[in-house]
Amino acid sequence: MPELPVSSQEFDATYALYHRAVWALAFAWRLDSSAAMDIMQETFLRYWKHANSGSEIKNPKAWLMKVARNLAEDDSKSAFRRHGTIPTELFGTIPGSSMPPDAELQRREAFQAIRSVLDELPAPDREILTMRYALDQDAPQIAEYLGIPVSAIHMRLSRARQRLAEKLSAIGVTQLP
Amino acid sequence: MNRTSHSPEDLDPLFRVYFQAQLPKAWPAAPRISETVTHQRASIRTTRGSWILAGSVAALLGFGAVLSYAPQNPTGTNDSDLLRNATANGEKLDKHIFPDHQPKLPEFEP
Repeated sequence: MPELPVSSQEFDATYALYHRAVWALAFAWRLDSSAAMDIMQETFLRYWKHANSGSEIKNPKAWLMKVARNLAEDDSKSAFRRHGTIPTELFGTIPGSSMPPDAELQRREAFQAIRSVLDELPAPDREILTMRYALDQDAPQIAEYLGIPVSAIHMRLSRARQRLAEKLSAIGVTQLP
Repeated sequence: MNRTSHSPEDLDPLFRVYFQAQLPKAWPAAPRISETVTHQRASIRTTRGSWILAGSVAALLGFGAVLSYAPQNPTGTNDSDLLRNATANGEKLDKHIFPDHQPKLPEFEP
């Protein structure tokens, strides 16, 4: 059997490097962790197929981010058609946790409020916020993933945080139980 | 809950808790189609694509050949000559269209 252009080891290395960033980007668009996971897996599956179909991928990071963004954008449109703006995780019952039920409920309400405020922000701002807070990336790292200048990251991050803080303060969500 | 305005720095811990709570608890292994299947599919796709391309090119060349060897004037009338030999007063054209027609000469009255 001839050798594949991208070996399993190379693919695993690419996955290890970028899967969290790809998930974060998908999450920023969908605001749904499991949907973001599906998009992440689909993105890497497409990468594997594309790379081994004879097409050269010069910049895997840029390719992955672009495909993930396109998939997430398409998915968010179809998800909106299916469910409106309600995240799918809110359709089910509240899962059990170690927190007391009232604290768990308050926490869920706070999360729901944050999600609805995030939903009002532009998706590119959410991409930066997700990378900043979910992945603990600093501005130069985010700039490298998204392919935009560091100064733009600083500006957009500052603006997005300000808007989030204002909106959450207005509805009284400033801390978690 | 406090309803006074808070700075983003105050809310940073809240943002961090929210986003980190969304992270998957466990990351799955890298997805992958088996290498054999990938090779077979790639091979089938390449072979089928080649045949389709070859067929299309052959059909295009054949069609071009038919067009270039087809008679220029399949109806048999030589209209191009008619137009080439036409005169400004339309005399030859009239003869071609109405071969039995005798032009009426103007009558002179003395």
